[in-house]
Amino acid sequence: MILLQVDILRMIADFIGVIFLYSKVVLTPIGEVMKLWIEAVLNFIDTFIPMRYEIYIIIFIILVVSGVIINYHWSGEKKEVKEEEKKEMDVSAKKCKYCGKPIGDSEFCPYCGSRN
Amino acid sequence: MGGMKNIFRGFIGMAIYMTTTMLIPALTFDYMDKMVIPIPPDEILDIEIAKGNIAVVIFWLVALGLTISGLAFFSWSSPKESRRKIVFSILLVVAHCFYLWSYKFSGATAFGVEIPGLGRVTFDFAGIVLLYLGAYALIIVAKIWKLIEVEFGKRKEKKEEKVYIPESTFGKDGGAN
Repeated sequence: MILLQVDILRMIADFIGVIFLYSKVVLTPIGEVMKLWIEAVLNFIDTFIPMRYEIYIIIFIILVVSGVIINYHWSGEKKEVKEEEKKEMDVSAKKCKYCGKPIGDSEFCPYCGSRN
Repeated sequence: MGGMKNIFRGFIGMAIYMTTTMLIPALTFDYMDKMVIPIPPDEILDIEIAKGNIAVVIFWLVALGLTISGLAFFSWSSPKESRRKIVFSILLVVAHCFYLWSYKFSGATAFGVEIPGLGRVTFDFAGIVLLYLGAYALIIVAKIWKLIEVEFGKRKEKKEEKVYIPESTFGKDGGAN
């Protein structure tokens, strides 16, 4: 209550309140649907999986180790294409005027033999 | 070099999630369980949380917190715009839903305070949990949409790559001689 006497804090509280009030109409029914399957899964876990920390520690270790291996080997870095290779790529993408098949930088089409 | 950067990013993500989903809540609940607020002259403010079931609350916090931290590590260490990053971030949101519901599940969203001479005040945060679950559902939908977008982007990229035939395939004269 004392905090709400500060104008800026009251404004922030009002703003958050409005967001909650209006989003409640849409989000709460979706939350109710989510609740159904989450509760079912948690009940299943509670019934069939023993309450032991070891299981979750193993899951954690598996995720971290596989994360390290996968993301180290496949780091997502693209190979740099040199300027010369780029030029070569442009030339080699040339297609035959008659049959439409790729001909590289040659004058004659290797498939239909026609001159380009 | 990029691999090490990914791993480093993953560890940062993991540390953030470990602190916010395990350390701070577990310490808070533990502290609240032991907390005694004396009211003069000789009475005590009794805060009843999780109906004395604090061990169960902390178990779920740690168990799901560990799972979330592992998923966060994988998601944060994956390269940007990759399929695995989005898939694991979806799994992370799903794990968050379980985590959030575990508060309600173990009875931690409702607590009562017995104020001597005034009576009992009860707080129930189940409504806010439902609100958050709804928001998480929308986040899942948005992430699935992004996954579809990335998938189409990758297919398009692959299609464009297929057009490229290196010069060495036919030779300089295009295989005419």
